Amino acid sequence: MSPVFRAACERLTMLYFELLIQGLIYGSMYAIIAVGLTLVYGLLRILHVAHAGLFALGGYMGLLITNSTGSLILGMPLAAAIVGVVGMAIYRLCYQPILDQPPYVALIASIGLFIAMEEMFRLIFGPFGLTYTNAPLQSVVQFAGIYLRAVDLAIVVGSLSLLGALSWLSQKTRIGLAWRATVDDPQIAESFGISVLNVRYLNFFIGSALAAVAGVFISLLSNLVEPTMGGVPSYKALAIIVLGGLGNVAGTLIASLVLGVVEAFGTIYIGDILDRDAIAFAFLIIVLMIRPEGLFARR
Amino acid sequence: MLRLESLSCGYGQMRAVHALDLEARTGRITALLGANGAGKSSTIMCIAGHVNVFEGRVFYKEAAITGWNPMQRVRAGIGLVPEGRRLFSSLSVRENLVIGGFCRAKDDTADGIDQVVQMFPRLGERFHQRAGSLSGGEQQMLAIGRALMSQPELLLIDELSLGLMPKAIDICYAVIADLKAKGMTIILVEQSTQRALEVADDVTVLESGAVVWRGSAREARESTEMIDASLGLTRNV
Repeated sequence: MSPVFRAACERLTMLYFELLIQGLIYGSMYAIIAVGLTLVYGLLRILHVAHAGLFALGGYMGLLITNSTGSLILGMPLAAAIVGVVGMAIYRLCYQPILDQPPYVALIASIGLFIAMEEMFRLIFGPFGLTYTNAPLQSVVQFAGIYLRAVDLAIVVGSLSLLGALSWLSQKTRIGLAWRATVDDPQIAESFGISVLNVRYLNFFIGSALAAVAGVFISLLSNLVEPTMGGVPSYKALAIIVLGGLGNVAGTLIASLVLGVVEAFGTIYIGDILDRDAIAFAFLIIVLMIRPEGLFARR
Repeated sequence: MLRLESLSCGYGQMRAVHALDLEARTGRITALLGANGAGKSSTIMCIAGHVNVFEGRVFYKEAAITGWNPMQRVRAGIGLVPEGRRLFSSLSVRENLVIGGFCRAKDDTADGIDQVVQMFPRLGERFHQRAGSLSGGEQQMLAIGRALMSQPELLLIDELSLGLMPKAIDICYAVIADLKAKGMTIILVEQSTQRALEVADDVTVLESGAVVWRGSAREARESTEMIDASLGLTRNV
């Protein structure tokens, strides 16, 4: 093999590796948004569009707390906790009263709530968005031969850690067992002493807290929080949960990572024709045309 | 142990059971018989706290429990084997049993599982298998075992033999007889009159949500009227 050819191969390998890492960064962020959404769908069969509003609220809370305290370590968990509680309140005030109505009623309520949240952000925080006064995690680090920002690594490590913790909670604890039993059959779960109401609150808390963390991550990536920031990532998340098989957490995780990687490679090869978001939606439309039930639907 | 007084219950505006009086005495098996739509399952689910009470009262160990929720009832000692088993199908056999014991002390779980596995050795062989992948007979064994994990004093069993192979039915009925011998109170809903009468002490037959025959199991075995009633034929008699 000639040295020129070898050097070209090495450059291509490095490019692909870099694209793969970029894909994993976005994919893991989509995963924590979509897993929160799929948790709600799995338990209540509601397409929780207002999840997008919680994602944006997480971004705002994280930024405001970080700006006022100077600490992201304080800002992120506090934002997650606040948004988790807001998620529980949304369940109690918005969904619980209409649970016995047809599913489209909850869907319409959720869309309305999302629009109201966007307008509320516009009124309270202004239409142009906010930025970090001193954006954290912006230093450049070298990882396996490629240069990344610290925030990129934080997103992958943070997302995978959170999803690992969620998996542990679901598979290894009594709370997780109660949650899985409630997903299977809430009426019978109640017959064995499981408080279905508490399980639903916990579900909304965790799902909403994950959305908040994703909101903080994306605000760190772009150093911007704006009222409409929930839209695109959450539309992608809605498509991802269909792609992953509705209610299937593992399928959602894989679909998120695949989408992130497809986006990253797409920006190189068809980036002149379509932008990153358009590539993602084109991919999702094509896959759903071929497999409308999703890639990992339970049969 | 359990007394229903003029109980009317149902779903939404629809009444499935009308002014039902029923008593399940301690240590005895009360069979609740009748054709499809007679109100048997509604009665069982009402006792378990899942069906709305329109009128009447439910007493358990002399306490009025009409307004109690399902969780309070299971904690008080009312166990349920629902129609169609309704296992947590994505969970393993072991996990289903653990959930059965949720309302009891955590330390009792391992002992409870051991006792269920002794009762149904087949479940021990399928311990880590998903409940949804078990055969019908195994699922019914698991449904009974799951209910027993809550250490009930009153066991409600809805359609024990429905859809099972004869051998599985034999195993389940042997366990029911064993539980009765140990002093457990059982309300058994069955479409198979013959099977129910093999183990029952008292029999109540429902038709269109109302009692059409009541008596001891011995009387029931000798009564053609009761056979007609259990088949939903009283209007033609």
